[in-house]
Amino acid sequence: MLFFIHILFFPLTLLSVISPSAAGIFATTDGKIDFTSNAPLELITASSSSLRGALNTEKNTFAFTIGVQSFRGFNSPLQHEHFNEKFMESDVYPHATFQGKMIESIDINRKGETTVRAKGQLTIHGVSQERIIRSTVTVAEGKITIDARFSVLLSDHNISIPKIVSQKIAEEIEVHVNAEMVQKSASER
Amino acid sequence: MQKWSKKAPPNAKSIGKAMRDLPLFLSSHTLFRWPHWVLFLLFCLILNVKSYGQVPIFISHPSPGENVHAKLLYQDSNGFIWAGTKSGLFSFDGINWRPVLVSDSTTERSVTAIYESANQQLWIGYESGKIDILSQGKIAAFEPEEGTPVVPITGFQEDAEANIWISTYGEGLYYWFKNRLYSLNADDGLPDNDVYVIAADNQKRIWAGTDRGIGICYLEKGEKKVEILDQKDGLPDNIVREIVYAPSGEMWIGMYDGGVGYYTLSTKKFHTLSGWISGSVSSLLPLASSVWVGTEHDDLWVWEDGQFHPIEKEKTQIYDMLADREGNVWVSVHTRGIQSTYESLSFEPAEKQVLSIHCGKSNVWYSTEDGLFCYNRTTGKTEKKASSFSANIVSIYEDETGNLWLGTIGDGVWHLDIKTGQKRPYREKDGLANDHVMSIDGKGNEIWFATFGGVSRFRLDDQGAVVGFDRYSRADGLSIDYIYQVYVDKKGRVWFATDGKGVSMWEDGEISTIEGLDRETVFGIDEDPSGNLWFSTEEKGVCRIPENGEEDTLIFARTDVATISSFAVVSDQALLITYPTHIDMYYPSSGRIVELEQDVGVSNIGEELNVIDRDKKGRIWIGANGKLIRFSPSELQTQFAPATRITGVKIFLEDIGDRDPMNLAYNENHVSFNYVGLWYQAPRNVRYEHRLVGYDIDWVESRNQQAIYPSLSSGTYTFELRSSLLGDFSRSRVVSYTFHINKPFWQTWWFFLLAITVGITLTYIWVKNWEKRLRRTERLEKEKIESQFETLKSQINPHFLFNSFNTLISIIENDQEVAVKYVEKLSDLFRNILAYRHQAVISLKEELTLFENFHFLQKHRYGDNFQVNLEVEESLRTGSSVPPLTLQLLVENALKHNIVSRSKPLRVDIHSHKSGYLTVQNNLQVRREKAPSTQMGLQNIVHRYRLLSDQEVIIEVTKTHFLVHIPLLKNETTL
Repeated sequence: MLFFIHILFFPLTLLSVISPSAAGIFATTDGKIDFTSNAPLELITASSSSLRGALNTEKNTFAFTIGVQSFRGFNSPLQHEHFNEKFMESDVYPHATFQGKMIESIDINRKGETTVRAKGQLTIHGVSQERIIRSTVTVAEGKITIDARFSVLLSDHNISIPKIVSQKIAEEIEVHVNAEMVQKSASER
Repeated sequence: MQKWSKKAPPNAKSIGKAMRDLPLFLSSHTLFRWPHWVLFLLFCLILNVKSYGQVPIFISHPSPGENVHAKLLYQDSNGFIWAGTKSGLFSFDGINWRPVLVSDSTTERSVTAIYESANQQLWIGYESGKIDILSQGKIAAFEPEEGTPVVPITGFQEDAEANIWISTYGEGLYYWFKNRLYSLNADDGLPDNDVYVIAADNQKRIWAGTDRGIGICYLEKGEKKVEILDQKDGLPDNIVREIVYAPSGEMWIGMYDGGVGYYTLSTKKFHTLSGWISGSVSSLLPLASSVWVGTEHDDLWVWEDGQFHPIEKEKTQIYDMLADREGNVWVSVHTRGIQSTYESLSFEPAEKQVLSIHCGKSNVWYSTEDGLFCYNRTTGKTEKKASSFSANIVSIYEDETGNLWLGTIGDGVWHLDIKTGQKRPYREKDGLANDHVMSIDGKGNEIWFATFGGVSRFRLDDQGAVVGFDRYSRADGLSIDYIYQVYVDKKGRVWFATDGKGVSMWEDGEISTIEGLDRETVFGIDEDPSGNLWFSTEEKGVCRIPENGEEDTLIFARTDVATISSFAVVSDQALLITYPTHIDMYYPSSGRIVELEQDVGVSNIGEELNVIDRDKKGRIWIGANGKLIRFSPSELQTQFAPATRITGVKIFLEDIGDRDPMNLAYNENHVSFNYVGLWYQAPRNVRYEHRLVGYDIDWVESRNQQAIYPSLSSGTYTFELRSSLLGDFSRSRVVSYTFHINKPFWQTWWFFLLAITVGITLTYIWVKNWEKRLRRTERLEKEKIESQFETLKSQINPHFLFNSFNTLISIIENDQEVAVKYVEKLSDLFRNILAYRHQAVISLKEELTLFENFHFLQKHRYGDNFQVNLEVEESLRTGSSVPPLTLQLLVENALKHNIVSRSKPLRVDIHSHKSGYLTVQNNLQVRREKAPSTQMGLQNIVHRYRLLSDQEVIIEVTKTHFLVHIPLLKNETTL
């Protein structure tokens, strides 16, 4: 049930970012996100291409969301199952989100690469943390590519790892996000 | 291993002995020594542990509660240190944390801001946006009509007009202006609504650090104004996490990515401190010559001598820092809790006991028994410079060319060329006064050597080569040839500290001796910034040569100490005096002493003489056992003694609260005081003296923080309190509290009057009562006597006897046995009458026995013509009493007045009632001829009862019966 609520609800927050003016809205529904857990005994990676998000270059706001169950990869099907059921509890917390404001504004008229810091609430496993995440932003005609690497401390989000597998799962997970965001034209509104 | 101490015995003889022993133990010393390279490696290992040597020593303090981190540290104007935590606000007295009750305990109480306004109100901001104000011990919610923010409060600041500004994380700023809360946010031009920090500059404008630069806010004629400082103006990073105003005119700024910078208010320019690598800054503390920097993830750094140095190296968060008035720096660290350090002191490990120390232009030189070491102040690295000396280096001097002169015990002076490493000895045979060189000093091209054989002066050329020797000894006017220290003052005069002969002074080739010290052994010499010369003596402490105009030849400043190792002048106000185990900060003008000891990391200094020097920045370096101690004169320190505070006044252990202390009731006379002497460096060393003026005659010494006066009589009292660290209270400030206990009401005039009136009335009533009782007793007595008389009269009545004897005669004839019994009963009757006649009452049982006898006698006389029916409840027989012979009298009356015959027998019925009456009833058959009667019998009974009981005897006459109800008296009713 909760799952549906989240699915229904989240697009609303996206809309609130998007709605006022379409001119500065860039959005994606197929951004790439992958994470790496580099523990002493095991290296785990997983990825997803279902990152949805929008940024408003006029209001300097953004919102991103990813379905936790969309991650593929892992070293075994059992690991995948544990990831969803034990650690992320993805039926209770189906989405991970990051939304907030951009510290530096993106000048869409200036093509090329810049670095922008995004400050907002990073919500994983139902626990929110305020984070400032640095991202490389490449502006091209009608689209913006973002590329960010950051780490997530499991303890920050109340994700507890049983002691028995603590040597196999890192306390700090490296996350890489890459998304090409396309400008919404006025007609799409 | 025995080691050579520079402190030689005071008399020349034993010095001589020590010198004779010298070569012997020096050689044994060398034999037992480890290979130098081993020690050197070991030494390098020790040094590598910390790359920055000059570390402060932290004292750890208790945390406000289990798993409670102090997110904020604050010191109020009373000197108390406060901690803001997730679990509320706490205050600290150096030993215990005390929670402060919040105004509303039901809401979340994570403290996110603490600030004391000029009117001594403590503003407390919470994560929920709520605000409390703590004023004079009472906390109240700040509830403006406009409502409080709903996002975390991040700071408070007071502007020039005493308006309080409030910063929030999400709603920008608010300001409390003429009792209205106004907002100032992004809509008004504030760069961003997330405000991390606010600070006030020299004009009391409010600087707000946000994600998009700094907003400088102020009111101009009531209008809100915002100026923005951001990257366009040269701010290194727009995310401004920390802003601190330094009174020297800078705003220090800590950033998320830009490290640490400062904005000079006068030039309006930003400067960035270079070399920052540690990420987001969480806290800044700019001090006189350094800046402490706390980070979000990379522990604590200090910026000093143009570089950042790590103080500790954990991956941890610094929550907050605080510089208190005692000169301590406080740090709240995620992993280490709350720590403090005396900011003036920092420490550098050395391998062994340091024998001599000298501050050169950029290095600090020191020697141990292992040779010569160089501590580079910029890099913080220590390097061993020379080891192959056959004797210990006890004096070091860096000359103008940067080369070193090293004085030894027994091996003369070595000249060390720093660039080439070449060493050249100068010994007695080369022209040096003596091979024991205790001290070296110089000016320009002249180097002076103090030895145990007089004084030498070397003259150098501009390249530093020796061009000539001079030697001064007793023959030239020196008071003695054993010299401990040589000192060249600012005027070019040269001073010599001698063994047992005071101080000699060389000026333009002439040597003179200072009066007043000529019998003293003088170990050290120093000069204060005003040019006064100071000396440390072996027996008389420290003294100075007075300035012109003062009469004495010498001023002895502190004469109570005898074991001074070294001393140095810190400023015109302060001396630093070292002892084998501790250091004193001594303030000659006030006589005040601040002891620096174990609590601040000072220990084990050693007995070496004059292992002290001052660098160009005025910092004092002390060589101790296993460490160098650096003392930086503090600008932080404004408090030199415990701050004495009365923290609570209680009456019967309840807080006095709002009560007027000058109007306490007579029974509020259990008064207690809680107090504290705030001295965070060594809270347990604080001693107290208190007295209650009006009660105590003298001061009472105490180590407790409470004084109780349990039962004070009325009057006005003043509680006086003072505290001290070393037990000398003469310079301590006295804190006092005056209160008044009113007189009890019984000591007031109206109560006195009332008491007298009541007393007189009571006495009157009592006397009256007494009189009445006396009369009653008299009457009772009279009645009793009358009744006895009556009874006796009736018994001895000849008729009674005559009748009795007639009866007896008839019985004797019939039944002799009954006759005997009859006589017995008769005699019993008379005996009982005699026995009971003095008693006012007897128990009913006794009365019935008495009556039984009487009845027996009458029964034999009248036979069946006289019938008695007795029904008395058993419990009444013992439980109640009657006047004696009552029943007999009544029955006698019945017999006397009624016909007793066969045809008309007399029936007497005696029965008890539950109501407590005994009824004696007979059928009425009155005799025609009246028996002679005085009516005394019945009257007597009635009278006696009136005196004995409230209940009356009731006499009832019907047509057929005559009844007398007599009240039964409860047994306790006796007269």
